Amino acid sequence: MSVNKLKTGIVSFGTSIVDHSTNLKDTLTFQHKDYDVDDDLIKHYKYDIEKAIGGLKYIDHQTSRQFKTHYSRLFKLNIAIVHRFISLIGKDSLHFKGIEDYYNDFDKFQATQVIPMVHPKEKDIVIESVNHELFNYLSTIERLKWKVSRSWELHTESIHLRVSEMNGYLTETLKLIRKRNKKQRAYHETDKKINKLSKKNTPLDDKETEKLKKYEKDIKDLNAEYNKLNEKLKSILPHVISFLDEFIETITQIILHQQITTYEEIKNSIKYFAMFHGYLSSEAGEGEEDHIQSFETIEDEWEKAITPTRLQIESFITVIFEKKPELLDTEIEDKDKTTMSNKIWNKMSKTVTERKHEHKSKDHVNGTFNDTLEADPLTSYIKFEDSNMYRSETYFPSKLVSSVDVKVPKPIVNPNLPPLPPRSNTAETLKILPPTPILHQSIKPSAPVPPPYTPVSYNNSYSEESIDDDEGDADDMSSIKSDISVESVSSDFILHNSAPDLVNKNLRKAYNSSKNDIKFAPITSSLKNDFINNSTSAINSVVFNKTSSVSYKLLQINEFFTKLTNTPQKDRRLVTALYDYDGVEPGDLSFKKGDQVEVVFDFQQIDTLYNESNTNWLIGSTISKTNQRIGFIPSNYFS
Amino acid sequence: MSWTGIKKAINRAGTQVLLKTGQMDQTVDKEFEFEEKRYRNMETTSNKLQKELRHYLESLRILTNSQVNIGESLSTYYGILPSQKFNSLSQQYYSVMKSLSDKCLSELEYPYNQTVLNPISRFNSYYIEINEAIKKRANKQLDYDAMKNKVKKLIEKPPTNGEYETKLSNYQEQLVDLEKTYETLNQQLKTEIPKLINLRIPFLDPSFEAFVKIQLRFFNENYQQLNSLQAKLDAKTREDYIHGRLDKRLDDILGKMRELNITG
Repeated sequence: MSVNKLKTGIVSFGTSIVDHSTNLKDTLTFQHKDYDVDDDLIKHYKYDIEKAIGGLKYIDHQTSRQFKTHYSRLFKLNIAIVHRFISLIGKDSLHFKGIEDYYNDFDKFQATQVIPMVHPKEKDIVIESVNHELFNYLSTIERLKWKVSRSWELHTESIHLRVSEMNGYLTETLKLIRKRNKKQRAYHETDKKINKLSKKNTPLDDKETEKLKKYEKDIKDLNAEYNKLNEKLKSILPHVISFLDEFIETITQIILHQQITTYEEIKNSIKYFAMFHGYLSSEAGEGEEDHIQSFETIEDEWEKAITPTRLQIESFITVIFEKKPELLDTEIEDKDKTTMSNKIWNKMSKTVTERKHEHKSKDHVNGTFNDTLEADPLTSYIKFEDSNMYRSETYFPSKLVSSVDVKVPKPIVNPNLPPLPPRSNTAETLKILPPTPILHQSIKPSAPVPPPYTPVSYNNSYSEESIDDDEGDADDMSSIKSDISVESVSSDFILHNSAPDLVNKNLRKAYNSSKNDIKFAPITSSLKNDFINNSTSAINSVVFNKTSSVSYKLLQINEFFTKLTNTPQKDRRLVTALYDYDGVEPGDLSFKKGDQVEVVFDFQQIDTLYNESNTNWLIGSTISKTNQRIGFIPSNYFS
Repeated sequence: MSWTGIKKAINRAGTQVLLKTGQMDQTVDKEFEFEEKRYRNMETTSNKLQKELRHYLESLRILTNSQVNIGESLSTYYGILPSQKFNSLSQQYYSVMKSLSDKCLSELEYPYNQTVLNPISRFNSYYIEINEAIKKRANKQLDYDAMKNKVKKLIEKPPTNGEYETKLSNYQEQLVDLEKTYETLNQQLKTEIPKLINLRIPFLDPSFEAFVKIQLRFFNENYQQLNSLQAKLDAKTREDYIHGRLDKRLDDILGKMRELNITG
């Protein structure tokens, strides 16, 4: 009996352990396999990381191939071609071994003759400018080869070192995952043994009790170890993936820039050569400033140069021998005349040498970095009406946003909205709102003094020109990728939510260090001078009115609002909204029907702004403590 | 080959052996030899040139392709390309590279064929004609030499029977004929080969120019396209690039990885 008691006690002890192991308790048997949320998540990560290692290796390999094989081949061929051209049409062209013997023979023969004959050396027509051109081209390409290969050597080395280091970290992560899985397996095995023992019908003998005790101890240790590893992985893995994302993006930038530099180098070298030898067109074609000839011009010029020569050659070739008349007297075509076998060979060699590599992430369509780790407060606000609510949805399964959390506001269309009060007043007020300090209610909306016109030169020193020049087709991409502040917000946020004892506090620093290098917005120097030298607000207003009137307006409005909220007021009445209102102009406060708004300031109280219809604009503020918003509201929308 | 053709070939082979072993005098025309050697030199060089030019086009293709592959590999980290929307630089880069390889390479191909590859191959096809003529001349030379030898032998060892006179006059008649055909061919080649050799410069130089220009155009186009992509990057990246600090960024990321303390 007592043994039985002991047994049940132990069993209950065992279950209590299982209960304590928070991550294993919700294990469900799925296809004879114990499965839980973390397993799924970590498996996903493991797969992606494994694939990422392969992908990075490929990129490293391919980069060095580009340098060692492709570029070197390109230049080698180019140089070989020039050498051929030189030996065909350049200096000392068509010289053969033993040509001196012929010259000697000629000299001997010449000595016996009375009438001097043309020396075979002289017979060879050589054009100086062509010689010069070929030689120059050769040295251009050789210099180019040296430059490009030096820069690629550095590039390859740099990519290789860094990719290897990254892969090292990723491999370590994989090791950690494996360790965790091992612990998990060991845990399950021990768990099974305990189950087996505890399910025994016969009472346990001493040996078995001993065993059971040992197992219980083991399982406790294993559970602790497993939990430690699991927690660590859970806190680390999202970082690993986000760093990998950053890494891949930066690698892309580096590769892009390396390529641009190389192409620019090649282009500039050849262009310089072409300019010197008059290969550029005399006038710029449409849409081009650099005088580089279009393919049509190239073809036309070539045709013009070659046709008389071709006809001449072909006319006397026919005289000599007529075997293949179909070859002659036809225009030279632009078709690829390469033989079939050649083409097949090319295709084959290409597939052999050009191994492709696709990074196959688990989520095939969205890729590895498919989740939005950034906690964009604005998005969050729109979605959850709270800027702190936004959560990553894939990598924090424990924090999954349930449908209850997401309140989808039902759009209530009210067709009978009262007309807005006349705006001209406020709009005008705002426009001429003097930037000088406004105290209390001493606004002087009348007397709109136009700001004195000061000529400011804008045309120089727009260093960030391309910001304006961008075509609108895809420039939003850059802003997405460089969302510095958002990124740092997210990191704080992750730190806050993951197990605090495991996450290195230094991470916060590490996260924010490199991305926040820009401490101030790039301002064109002319503007900067204005800010520094003439800090009078008149100039400021001129500047702002010219650059961006809306932002200036908002700035001024904001200043005004701050003053208002800071002014102590005796009675602030609360009003309730009767309708929905989405702000129309900058500075308007949007609200929903039923919202309570505190009236901070009433325009009706000011003589100059007084409206006879008794509808006017108020300045209202929401009463929430955390997300206080302030703005203009139409008085007739409120009770 | 007709029966007479075979007979001729066998006879010529015999003559060639006799010539090689020095049992027979050979007609030597130094002037022609000189021109022929120049011509042969030109032939081998321009044939090699043709091959290399073709390889060059191929190497441009391979280079671009490998860049596309890198771009693809990078972009697949961010998932399969949706038709127009790019969320990441890598995807954007891949699409630019792809369009470069599709557009620039195919645009380059036709002018390259027309102005560089095909002219050279046309020039090389002239050799076929001239080689035939040279071969014909060599054959005629062999015939002529053989006949000369026959006449010589006949004079040295006149046959005892009375056929000597008739044979000699017969041979000499043939000899004159053969000499005439040989001489005309020889003379023709001696004037025409230098002509072709001298026309090589005006023929090949435009192709060289086109070769340079096409490269310029190609690399310029590539550069422009990539540059427009680069212009879309944020200010910080551009600044880092100008100061060569992009590598430092990678190091920063690696530093962060270190901070994670994976093994510890």
